[in-house]
Amino acid sequence: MNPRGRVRCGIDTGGTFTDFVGLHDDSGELVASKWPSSPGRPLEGIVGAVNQSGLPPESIGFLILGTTVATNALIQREGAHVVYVTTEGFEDVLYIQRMNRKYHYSYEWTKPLPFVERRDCLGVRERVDAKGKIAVPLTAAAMDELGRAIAGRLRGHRPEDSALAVSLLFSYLNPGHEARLREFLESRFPGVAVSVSHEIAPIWREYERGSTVVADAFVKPLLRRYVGSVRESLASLGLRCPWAIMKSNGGHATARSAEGQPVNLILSGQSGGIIGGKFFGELANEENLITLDMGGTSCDVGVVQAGKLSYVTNYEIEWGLPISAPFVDLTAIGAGGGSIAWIDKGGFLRVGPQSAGAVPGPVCYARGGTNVTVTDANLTLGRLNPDYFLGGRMTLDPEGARAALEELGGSLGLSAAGAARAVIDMANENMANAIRLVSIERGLDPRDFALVAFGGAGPLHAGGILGKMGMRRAVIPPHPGLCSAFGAALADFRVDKVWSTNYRSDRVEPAEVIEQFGELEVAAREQLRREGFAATPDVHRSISMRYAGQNYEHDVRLPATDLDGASIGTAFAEFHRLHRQLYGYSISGEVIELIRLNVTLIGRIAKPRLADPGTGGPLEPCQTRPVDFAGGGPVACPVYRRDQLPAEVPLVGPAVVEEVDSTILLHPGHTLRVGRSGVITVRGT
Amino acid sequence: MGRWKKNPAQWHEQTMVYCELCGKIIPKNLWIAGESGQTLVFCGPDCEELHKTYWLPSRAERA
Amino acid sequence: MGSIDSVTLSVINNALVNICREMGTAMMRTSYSPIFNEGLDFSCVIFNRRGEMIGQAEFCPTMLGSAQYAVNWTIEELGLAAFEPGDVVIHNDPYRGQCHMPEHMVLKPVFFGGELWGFVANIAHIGEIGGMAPGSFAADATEVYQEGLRLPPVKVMRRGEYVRDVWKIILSNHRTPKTSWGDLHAMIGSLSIAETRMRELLERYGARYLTDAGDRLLDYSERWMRAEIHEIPNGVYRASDCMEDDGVTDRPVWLRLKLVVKDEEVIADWTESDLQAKGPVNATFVVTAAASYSGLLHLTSNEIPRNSGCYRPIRIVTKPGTVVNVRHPGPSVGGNTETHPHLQNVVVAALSQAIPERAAAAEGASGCNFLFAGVHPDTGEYYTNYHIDGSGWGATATHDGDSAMCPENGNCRNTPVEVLESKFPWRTLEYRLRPDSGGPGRFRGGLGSSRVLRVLAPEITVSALMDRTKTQAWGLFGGGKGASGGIFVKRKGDARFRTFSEAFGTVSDSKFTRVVLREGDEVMIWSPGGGGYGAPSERGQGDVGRDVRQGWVSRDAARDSYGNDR
Repeated sequence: MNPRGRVRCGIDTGGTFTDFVGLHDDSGELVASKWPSSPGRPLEGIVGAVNQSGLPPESIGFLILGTTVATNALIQREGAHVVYVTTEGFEDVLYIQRMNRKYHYSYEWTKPLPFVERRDCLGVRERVDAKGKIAVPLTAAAMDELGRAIAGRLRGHRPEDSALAVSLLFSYLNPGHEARLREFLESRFPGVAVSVSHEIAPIWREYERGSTVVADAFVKPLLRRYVGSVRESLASLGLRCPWAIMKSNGGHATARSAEGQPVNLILSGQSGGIIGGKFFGELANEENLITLDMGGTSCDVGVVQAGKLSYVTNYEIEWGLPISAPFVDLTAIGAGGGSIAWIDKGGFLRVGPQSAGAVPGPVCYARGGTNVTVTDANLTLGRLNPDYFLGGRMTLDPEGARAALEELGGSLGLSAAGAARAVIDMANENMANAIRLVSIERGLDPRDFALVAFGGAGPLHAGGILGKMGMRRAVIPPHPGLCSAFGAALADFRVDKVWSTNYRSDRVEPAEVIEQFGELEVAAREQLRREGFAATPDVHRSISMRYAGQNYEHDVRLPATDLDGASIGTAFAEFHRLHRQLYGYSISGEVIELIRLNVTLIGRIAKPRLADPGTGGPLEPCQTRPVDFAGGGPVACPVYRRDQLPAEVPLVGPAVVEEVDSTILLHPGHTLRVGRSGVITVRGT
Repeated sequence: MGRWKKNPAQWHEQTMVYCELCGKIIPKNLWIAGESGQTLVFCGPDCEELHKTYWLPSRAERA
Repeated sequence: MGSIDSVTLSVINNALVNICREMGTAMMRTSYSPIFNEGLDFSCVIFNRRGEMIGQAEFCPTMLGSAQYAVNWTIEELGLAAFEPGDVVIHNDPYRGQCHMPEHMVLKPVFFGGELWGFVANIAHIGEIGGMAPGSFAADATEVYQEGLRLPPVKVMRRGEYVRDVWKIILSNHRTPKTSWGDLHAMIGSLSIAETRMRELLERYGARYLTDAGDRLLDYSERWMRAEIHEIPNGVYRASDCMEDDGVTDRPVWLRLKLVVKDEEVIADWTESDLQAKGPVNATFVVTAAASYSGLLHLTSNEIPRNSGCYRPIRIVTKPGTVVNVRHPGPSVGGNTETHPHLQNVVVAALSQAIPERAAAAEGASGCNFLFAGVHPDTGEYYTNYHIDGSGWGATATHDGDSAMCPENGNCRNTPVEVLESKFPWRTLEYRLRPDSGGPGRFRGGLGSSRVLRVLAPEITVSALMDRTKTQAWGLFGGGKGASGGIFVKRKGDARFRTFSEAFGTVSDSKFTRVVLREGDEVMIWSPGGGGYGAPSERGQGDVGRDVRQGWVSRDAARDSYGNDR
């Protein structure tokens, strides 16, 4: 790290704003700024936000970016011209997919299109068998023939806009052929990006692995370009510090590593939120958290259990297009301030997933929007202040919102206020469902968790969701709208390594397992050093196990201490227990298969100390206005400014607490308290 | 109008009684209806009704 | 309906769907056989205590349509008083409301406050249940008794304890009892999860409220379905199709439908169909009912909450002893996989006369069921497996048919090549789409697939049950037929593939059992393609050119079918 720079910075490029957060390593002092995002030109927002922060370039020591470049390229299908190479005879696998469909009674749905044209799927003569043995060798002649075919498919495309994706059958057992092909392709087609499946996703199931490696190749040239332009922009700002990009696993990677495996960046723009949420939740002394990041168009929900994030290994760009990589377990739904309320054919009220976006935006933005949104409903109920939206930078139109809600209510037999309450209730229910997905469906009781609510709209809805879920506490971070950028600034280094095995519990040599773990750790440490972390990392080991005969695995953690024969035996007992806990039964005496050994290294970075707010002082509202809570009509409600609230003085709802980038709605009977580092805790009834 | 009657078969008897209209095998509760001196078995009044309003007229038509 | 009520109702509907999905995930993650964990050949459902289905998720239409009959039978035969907390009933009897023998239902009562509130259940394909053929798909069976172990509704768990007598009977009649043990536990385990979730829902809303909400959801779906049917012009619509042969005799068996649409109701009258077949292509009544429902559900809004209410306006008329309502002791294993999609295609063809803009041309309509068994040379263990392939779907008024899709009666996945070869001694030489197998048309039918497998063990015993290998999926409104499918064999040293009739003298090319293959022999499975929609001459030349470039249509076919000679 640059010895002169003492500020660690996080940048989050959102749909409407680019957020910047800088943290002084020594003082814990926080610098924040916001700059409008330009659609399609992420760098303008970054440059704008850094400039706006007023930090001198030499003071910045490390910079971490969250980016949606990879996600957007996949969603909008604007990426590289990909040529896909696979074992001869299996060229159609990406088009055959898995044979099932999203809806069970529909002629309307059709299969998703892969990110590669069928004519660009080429076969090469070679074959590895199910034991990893070579059944048909890969010859020089076969490679030459392939090279000619690829050259034909690349004709007319610039090399820097093209990419090659390679996925051969059983390469996760024996990567030899893929490795040789990579070497051949890189020398034969210089300048063309190459992705090979055993590096990107060494997992079984040819469709899922192929789909992942194609997604990687599809975004690789874009990511290279993005990294190149960030480098230039930072240089133009006079920034010479090291910088990194957030990964989907909640860690971050240096630019070089990120552009080499962009498939790891799909949730780059979203994983900062949960890191930030976890940090503030812990400041409020909570270690079981459900994070709720509600912005303008969508809402991301995540879980922190006993101080730990949970992870998944699969993500779908659209139904049927899987990407296998480590992801922070986030559930995203189309619920935000801009989510549109509508009536379905059967007469049910729905909210989202369509969003009015920033333009035309909600009706109350008075920019031509005609669809009722969640923001309109909040405004109509007095929960939002028309004159203090974004700290007063924007004035809202309450009459317009009310008229639109009256119209919506007409078709439901409801008043404008009734319709507004229904819209908010439905939006809250959608978020509650997302919370159930990440908690109840995994056997976790949400009532044991605190809700960390952030994003511009999160604090406004937290109280309603507490009630719905029977949760007792909500945590509201300072600057809720900047929490994702904050999370990026706080993100640890993280490297995940996986090794596929075919050990069985009835004939495994513990020494061999321990040795394999050792090798994995050496490789992981080396990568961590390359990514810029030199200190001692935390080590996490687990084994993915299943009963012999089953097809899906569960991860069983191993102790962080030195492994010995006994720790492997303990892991088997733990698997039986875990299976019983998850599925209500275990099969005693059944052989257990060890499918993967997993090692994760985490390079912790020091967490900042944020300034505490002043204590004592009076609680003084800056105004009183009628606010409509669920049922019972409007009540006179005191309104406070967050920066004027004294620490540790309980405030009992009903109340509204406003700040520049967010509004907290304190329901009647709920109690709010400002704690350490300015973190607010709300207690439900 | 018909009436409900339990299939008198013992638990160990493997009998199969079919609904006169839909053709479904009836588990236990038989709907017994008389039609022009004949006793017909249905799975319920709905099937008896459709027998009258749809099946008999369409058979007459074909004949 | 008040709006806040409707909000709560849709919340409850979502909760029920989610519970079913969660049951499905648990089964996928814990089951043993590939047809379960890769194929997802199962369905999960929630019933009220009257035996009406109030919740389901995106599983196999055939099981979803038949589930209410199996549950109703169970309740009526056993009586509500027979259920105690912790009980689990198993049931696969096609002569007691099930669809065919491999489909096993397990059902668990949900108690709340000491009262029976309703049931959670799932139906799944158990890969091997005994009978005359390994894999229990006996294509030349002539009686249900050859198709495996038949279980009327009996308890396998009583108050949470194993009913060992019943388990012993089951496990001693299945060829791969260890797999059955694992799969049945996956099914029963997922019921416990659903039961817990239902209790949580009951705690939140109360028993009466939730019952009431379930009733309102049923009424709501019924109203919506009636409104959808009301939009279909009144009339009598006829259509028919045949099973190409029945595996035992080499003659077609006809399915004939007279579909009456009158205002808000539909009558599916199948009574003009052929007498029941000797071989196992017979449908049970519930298969015919499920196919009729599924046809209607495919042609109506995708947004209707899926529950028994949808079925109320649809009436089924059949005659016992016909191919659409097999009489005891006729065989029926192929009725559920082959005849079911044919029946549904016939429903859609009939309605295409009334609502052409919503209809689809016929699909491949064959599960391409391929069964194999043997001793694995690496482990010395006996195995069996049930393998399926997807076929081409029919084109519609707005798009080409999808290629290599599970037939409409199921929603199963394929088994990845890497999973298949890791478990069984085959080498896959190719798995690809068949060019020109989609029926030409303004919109083209989907393509069938081709899979070639080579035997890596001293021997493997194979069986098959397919259809549309001599017949074809029809097109609509001038669209052409899809290509036939087929299953072929090349003995080691042979130069070419032949039919199994040619090589082994089986009665049918597509339906046979217990053929022993040796190391180096190869099997080639071709799934049929789907039919086209609209005249090929109306297809844009750009789309034809694209099909040629991608390899879906050959240059010759482009010239012959579409008049495109570029």
